[in-house]
Amino acid sequence: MEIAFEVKGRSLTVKLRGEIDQHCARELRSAIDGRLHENREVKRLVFDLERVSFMDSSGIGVILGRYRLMRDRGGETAIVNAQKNVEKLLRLSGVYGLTESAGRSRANG
Amino acid sequence: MDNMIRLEFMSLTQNEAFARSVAAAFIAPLDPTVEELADVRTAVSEAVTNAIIHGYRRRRGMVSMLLTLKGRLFTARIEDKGCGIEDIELAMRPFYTTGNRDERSGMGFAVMAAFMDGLHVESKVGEGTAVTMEKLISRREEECEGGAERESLEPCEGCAECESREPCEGCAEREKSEGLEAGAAFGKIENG
Repeated sequence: MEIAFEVKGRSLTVKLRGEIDQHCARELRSAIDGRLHENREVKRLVFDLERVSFMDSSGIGVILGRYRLMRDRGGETAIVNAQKNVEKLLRLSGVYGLTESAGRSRANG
Repeated sequence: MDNMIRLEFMSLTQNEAFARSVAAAFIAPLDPTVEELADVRTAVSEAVTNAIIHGYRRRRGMVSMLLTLKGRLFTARIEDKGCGIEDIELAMRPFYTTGNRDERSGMGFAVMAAFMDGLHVESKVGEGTAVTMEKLISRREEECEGGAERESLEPCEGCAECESREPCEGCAEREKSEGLEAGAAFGKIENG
């Protein structure tokens, strides 16, 4: 799993690549939380999942935890570009109801 | 086609990727859809994660995985000798978790139930937990046009065995619908 960050104004985009499961969840969590801590003015957190080929509910846990952090600072969380299989999981877990989602799934074309 | 494999691995999170890859490879001969493959990978990952972080918690132990195929019915049984589950019904409720609520979604069993066709959990406190899941892998002809035709066309003797003969119409049809994989097979025959 690889993580890249992009800060634009008050928005932090987290670009993930690879497979997200329990094994990388802790690392992912602390990397994102570190960035959020450094950039206290960030009010919008965007998860770009375009290159995430696999995710299980450990990834949902990471997203939900970050959603709560953003909510506590009066910000919002968005998920973009999820592939079809990841999108199925996001829908099932109800994460889309909490976060803003944009961008069509690539697999849906 | 019936098949079975059993494997055991240490309760380390780095083995999750290994376990779900094994399950995916195991059902690959059935030519599952991309969605079915993803469903199985995800459900197996959930069950193995549960065994590692909830079954054994901070202890180390062995997780066993039994995969079987009976016809097109895939079954995965994932077992640990960990702490067991006191109240299975409660544990299976969406969003319920005994882990840190900020870290865990409590969605593991809900994902297994949604992505597979059957889910059964047996557990005894202090002895361990066994999760059994099954999924019927669909036949492709239900999804793609011409699939029924493909099914009925057996490879001719020429394609399978003899280099000098032309592939039969059936095999030519198969090549069209199966794309690269069948194309590569023809290439081998022609070059050989």
